[in-house]
Amino acid sequence: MWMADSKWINTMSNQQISKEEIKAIYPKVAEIVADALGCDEEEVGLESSLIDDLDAESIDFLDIVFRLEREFKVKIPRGKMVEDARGNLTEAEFEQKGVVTDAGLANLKAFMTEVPEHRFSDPMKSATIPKLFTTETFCKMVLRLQKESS
Amino acid sequence: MADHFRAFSFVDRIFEVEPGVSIRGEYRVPDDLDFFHPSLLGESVGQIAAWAAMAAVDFEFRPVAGLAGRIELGVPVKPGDLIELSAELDRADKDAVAYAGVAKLNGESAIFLKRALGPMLPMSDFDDSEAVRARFDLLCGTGAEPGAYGGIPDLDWKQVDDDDDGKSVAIFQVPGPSPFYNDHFPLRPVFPGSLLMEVCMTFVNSVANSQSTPEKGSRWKTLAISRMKIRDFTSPGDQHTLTAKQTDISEDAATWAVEIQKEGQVTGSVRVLLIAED
Repeated sequence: MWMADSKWINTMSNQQISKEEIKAIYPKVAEIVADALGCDEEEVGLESSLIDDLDAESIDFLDIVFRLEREFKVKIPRGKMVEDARGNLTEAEFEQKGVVTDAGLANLKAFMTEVPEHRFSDPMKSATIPKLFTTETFCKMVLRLQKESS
Repeated sequence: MADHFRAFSFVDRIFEVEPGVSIRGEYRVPDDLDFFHPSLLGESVGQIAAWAAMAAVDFEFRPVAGLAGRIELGVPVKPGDLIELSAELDRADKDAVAYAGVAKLNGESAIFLKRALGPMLPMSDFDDSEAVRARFDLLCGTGAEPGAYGGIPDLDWKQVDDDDDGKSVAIFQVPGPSPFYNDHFPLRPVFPGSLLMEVCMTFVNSVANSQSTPEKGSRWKTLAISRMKIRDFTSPGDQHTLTAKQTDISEDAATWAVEIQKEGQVTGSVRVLLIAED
């Protein structure tokens, strides 16, 4: 029952973010990502994977997160995305020996609805989760944080 | 260890500090040096910002070089000069530090760092936190005895190639074990990012001046670096390949992009901005 509730929460938190809201915030997020990565804004699509498509590295994520925090007046703790995707699962229920569990993978997919199914490898190493992050992932994260703070 | 807080430390006193917010201090360039690398001014600003950041996290974490949006060179500094240091921090927590800072000589900017950002890593990987705390207390109190820095080995790079695509390539042999590594850092020797940028600036300056003369002026000189990005640590004895390419030029300014690789992997990048001088 508790897992069903948390899945509902995950689904509801994503449903509370409309496509219109994402569309409204996307240009500024794309501008920030492009500036941080030194690429053209045209290259930063909503569906672009920051690592696989735009060659972002960990230092770039630090820069992007910092710029998003300043622009949108939110606080993005390290690991926030995975923590939210984990939902009600404990860390041990989410991953074992560096590999995401079946329950963890299900929660990831339910939470990151903007990521195409085929990009979730099975098994999936937890260290590779950031490769799933797209521009839309960051748009939704900012929007969720803005809603939480209000 | 005799070199700790001496061989590569560039803050002698802290006058004011609000941990995680702002800091002000000074550094006296030793007067027995032949030369003081401009990049070490950037190092001094980074170090004073680091003190404010480390104080904010109870010395459990320390920052390492990551990104710098822009670093502008100003008035030259010579041995014996007294440098005023200050930094304003936008962020300082166990994850990252973000700051801007300046080193001034007689009230004029000698170097200015904008949009600097670095990850914070466990202090225990690099140094003893209680020793660092004690050093902070000393700097905030009576101050450290000036004149400890004694120089660094020559930064040897060798140009090896100019290809048809307009790229110039050099090999940089990172100095091996040397006293300054004992202070950067005692538990993990790391070749400073500031010196890596010095090598890039010197390389670009040499290549630019060998390839062209500015339309307005007699030679190129470095104005600033921008988009500095350090992706990985450099260890003593590493060998880096530097690839430089001019990306923009006007009658009195030029921009060069430099990529730094180690064993085929990109470990850093920077843009060097040149201006013409008479």
